[in-house]
Amino acid sequence: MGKSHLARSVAEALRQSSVHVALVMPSTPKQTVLDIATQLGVVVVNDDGKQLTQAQLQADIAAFLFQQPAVLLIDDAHRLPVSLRVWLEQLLARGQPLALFATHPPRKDIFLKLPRLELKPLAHAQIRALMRAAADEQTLALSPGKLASLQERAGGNPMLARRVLDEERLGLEETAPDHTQWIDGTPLLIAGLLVLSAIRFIGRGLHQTDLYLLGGILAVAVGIVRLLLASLPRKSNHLGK
Amino acid sequence: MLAKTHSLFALTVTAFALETADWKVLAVAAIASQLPDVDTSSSLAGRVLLPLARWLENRFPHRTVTHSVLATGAVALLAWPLRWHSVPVWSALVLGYGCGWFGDVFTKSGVAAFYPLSSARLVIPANPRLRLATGSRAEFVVCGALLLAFFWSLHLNTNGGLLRSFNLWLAQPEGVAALFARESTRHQILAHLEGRLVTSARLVKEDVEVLEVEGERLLVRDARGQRFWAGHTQSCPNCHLDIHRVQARLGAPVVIETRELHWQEEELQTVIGGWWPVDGKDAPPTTDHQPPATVFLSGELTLRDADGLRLPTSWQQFNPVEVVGNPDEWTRVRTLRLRAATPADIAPLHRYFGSGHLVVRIIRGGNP
Repeated sequence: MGKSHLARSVAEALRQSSVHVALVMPSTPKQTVLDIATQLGVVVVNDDGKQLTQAQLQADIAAFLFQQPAVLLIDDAHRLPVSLRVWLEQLLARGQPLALFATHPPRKDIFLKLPRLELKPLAHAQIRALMRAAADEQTLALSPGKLASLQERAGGNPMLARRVLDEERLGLEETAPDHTQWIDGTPLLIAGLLVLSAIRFIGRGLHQTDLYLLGGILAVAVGIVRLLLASLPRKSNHLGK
Repeated sequence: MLAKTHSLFALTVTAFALETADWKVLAVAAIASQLPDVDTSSSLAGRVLLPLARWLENRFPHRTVTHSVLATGAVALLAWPLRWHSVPVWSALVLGYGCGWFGDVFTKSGVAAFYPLSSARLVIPANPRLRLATGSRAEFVVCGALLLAFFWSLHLNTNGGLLRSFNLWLAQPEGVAALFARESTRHQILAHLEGRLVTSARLVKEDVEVLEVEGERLLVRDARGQRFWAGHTQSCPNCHLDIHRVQARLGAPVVIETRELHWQEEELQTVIGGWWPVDGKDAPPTTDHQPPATVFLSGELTLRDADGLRLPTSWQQFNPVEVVGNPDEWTRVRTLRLRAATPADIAPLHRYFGSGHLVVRIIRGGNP
């Protein structure tokens, strides 16, 4: 289950329990506030039929929530602008129930003040089941071997699992996976190679000049490899080449 | 990563790590490198072990359970009985399997090396743009480089290994000393030597046999049978030959036998004559049906009535028989010290009486 799926499920469950819910995804600040107001049933126009300003909407929503309990659910909350985060923080201080669903949220303001629930990557079996279902939906006939191969590009992320299937359906070239479950093995490799430097000391201890010299050369070689690896371009935050 | 890249990676690493050119050991490594890909039926190993591949690919994503440290440990344990048959074969199996999945660390998708503790993918380097795409042009370049490295490792291993080749490249007495220490009980040690005679400053460039090693100096014998201490004159002021370059190689196989001789108040001819004819030649075998032998004598002789004894000495070459101390005027006793002396060297002493303690090294085989 991904965060968006969780947000929708929570909203659905609350609605079924007759709790007033607003589930929005951030767009522009005004539009976001407008979405919340609309879902809560707050009037968004004045007596002249003119749409309220963002500040007026925020004030009206706050007044509405003061009178009538409702839950605010915000998906993709990592995209919330500072102005809305500050407003939500004020609502939270008043005891407003709200839940933010975010990918890698920043370690600051409202995100620090809310209890945190981290979604673990889905298990292999769950991702496989999701991919099978998505493949069936798209009438894609995929062998277990092909699914196993596609699954390695999804990691434990259900959104990526569906995207990988879309890419397969469209016959697109395989790209580097976009999931975030990586371990950079470069330090391990360097550490492993550095062990070779010990040969130098073994040679010295055993008074073996050849071993000592070879160990010295290897130590220099490892140093060069280390420098070269350190000078490689860093991983980009942008997609594609 | 392609099957051939996996094989070449495993072959190269195994050849270097085990210092082997044994085709059986290398074949095991190459085959083992295909095994991690048994988790997909589209791979070579998957097609061979189809039921296992089907079972795995129904349950796990590619490059997880079989591409892990845990799986390598399991293979090492399961194959443990192989160690009773051959440790190198077992090592090649484990190394080959490990290399099989470790190579994928350099691909775009990486491997779940720490599965099941973590499903995170181990990758090198972190930047995916610098990692290999299966079947890409970059992979073929890597394949070519691995092929060259593999042939280089074979060349090194068939010539005594990396250290030996390194010593050949350095061409210094220390390398010869290392080879002598390792192989002189099984092989004649020959060397190509370039240097300068200390006394005459004559340039020397010839093949010699290494007879003994003391620290970093070598006792060598040239084709004319002349012996020299050879080394760097900075560290060996008594050397006859200042070495510029020396490269050792293995000669013919030899069998070395060592005996000790002690005697009191006997004629040297009587003592030695029981061993070989005293015609001044290097000794023939003492027993029948044995190949010719080269004999070297080391030790000390105390000879009576030897005040008239005159031994040839040379400043330009090694003296295998040397007089130690001053002769006793009253008893006319002389003490001689022998080192790597041949029977020919002690021929002038045969008629003298005295005592002695000699270590006799009999070398059978090799080229005298």
